[in-house]
Amino acid sequence: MLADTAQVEPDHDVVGETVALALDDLFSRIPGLRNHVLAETGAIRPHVSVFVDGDQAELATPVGDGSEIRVLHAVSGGGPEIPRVG
Amino acid sequence: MRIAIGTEKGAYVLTETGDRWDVAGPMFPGWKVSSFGSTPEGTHLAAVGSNWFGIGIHHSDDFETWRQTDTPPEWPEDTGRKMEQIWTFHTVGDRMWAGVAEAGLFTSDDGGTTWEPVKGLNEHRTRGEWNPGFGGLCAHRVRVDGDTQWVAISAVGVFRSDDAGLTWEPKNDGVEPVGLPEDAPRPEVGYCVHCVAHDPADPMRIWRQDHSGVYRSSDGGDNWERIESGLPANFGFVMWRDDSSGRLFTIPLEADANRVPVDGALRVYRSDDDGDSWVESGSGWGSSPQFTGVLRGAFDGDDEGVFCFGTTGGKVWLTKDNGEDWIELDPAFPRIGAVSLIR
Repeated sequence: MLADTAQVEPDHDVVGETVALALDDLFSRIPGLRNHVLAETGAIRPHVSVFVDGDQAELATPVGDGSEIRVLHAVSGGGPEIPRVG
Repeated sequence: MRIAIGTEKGAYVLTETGDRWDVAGPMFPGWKVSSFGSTPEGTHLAAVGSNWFGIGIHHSDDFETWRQTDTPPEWPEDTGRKMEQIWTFHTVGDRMWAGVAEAGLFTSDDGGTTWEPVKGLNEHRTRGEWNPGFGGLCAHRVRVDGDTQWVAISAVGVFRSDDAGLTWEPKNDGVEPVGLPEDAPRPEVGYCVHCVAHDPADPMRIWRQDHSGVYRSSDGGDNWERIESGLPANFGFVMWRDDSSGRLFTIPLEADANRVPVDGALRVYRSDDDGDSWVESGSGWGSSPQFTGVLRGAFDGDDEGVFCFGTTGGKVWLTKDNGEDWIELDPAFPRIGAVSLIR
């Protein structure tokens, strides 16, 4: 969905020692993605999840050479359990 | 004729081809398309939004291929506000305005590429009293006439600037505030304006569909009077004026607690006397009930008799003769929130 709206390929090689720096590298080339991944506070948007090599990550999470960073929208929804009646 | 439809799940373009309407889309699949606009150069704009990914603005020369703006309107971090949706674009001369939620106004002098907040409104002295209603807290209508500007903000009211946007004053005298006892003092803000329409020949003449009723002002909003004679209900989200004839259109809904047409009778009501009286507009409505609503951005028209609207049930209705005959187009869409004739 993000790649489609930005009209870019979904896979990119980036440089950075942390998730934050790696994302900055990506955003320097595709500025329109920044607003879609980071909120006004600079934090990762609440319904966006970032993974490094399969493990959920934060902006400060270190990234090594050859690491894979995935940016996904979180599966969320539903509500509190509705009491059964009758 | 081409009509752009913005829905909860993408945008579509209806193209009249003989007796049928062809559908292109969805564009921006999965994204809510909240409004359409155009730059001073005539480039088309589409505003998108997502519960996950925030907002975006896309440009197109042909409504087919789109390119994303790098920097949409953004709240400064120190405001603590979220940019939830772009509700409206307004273009006059070389400047553009965008009304957004959380409620605010932004301007662009480079065709929508970059945006600046209008601090005189966004940081108004009453800001602390701006509380969202059911529709949120959104600046959904903007009108500019020289140095005089108006903004309509849901659950807050109409504001006017007489100095090109530097300072703003609430303009809601005569409008019933929402959710207060009858004997409560009138607040400065807390008026839930749903839609306004201005007379372009005299923009100080304004017609207003409010949460609390239908009103008219002849002095730029300094004073408002009710104009509801003939309407089956005074709730709704639509106010449109055909500027060539002066005819007004509104689409009544039963009540805020039940936002569907009275008895399911989806009808446009029209007035040819500036709102003194209203009558059901034309024919073609069919006999089947339509328990569906029409939202505040989901209509558009021109000054040649065309008016169209989209419903929360995903259907599009059209008149080409200023409301005498109405047709419901065949295609069905997701919930419609924005409609725009493609010019």
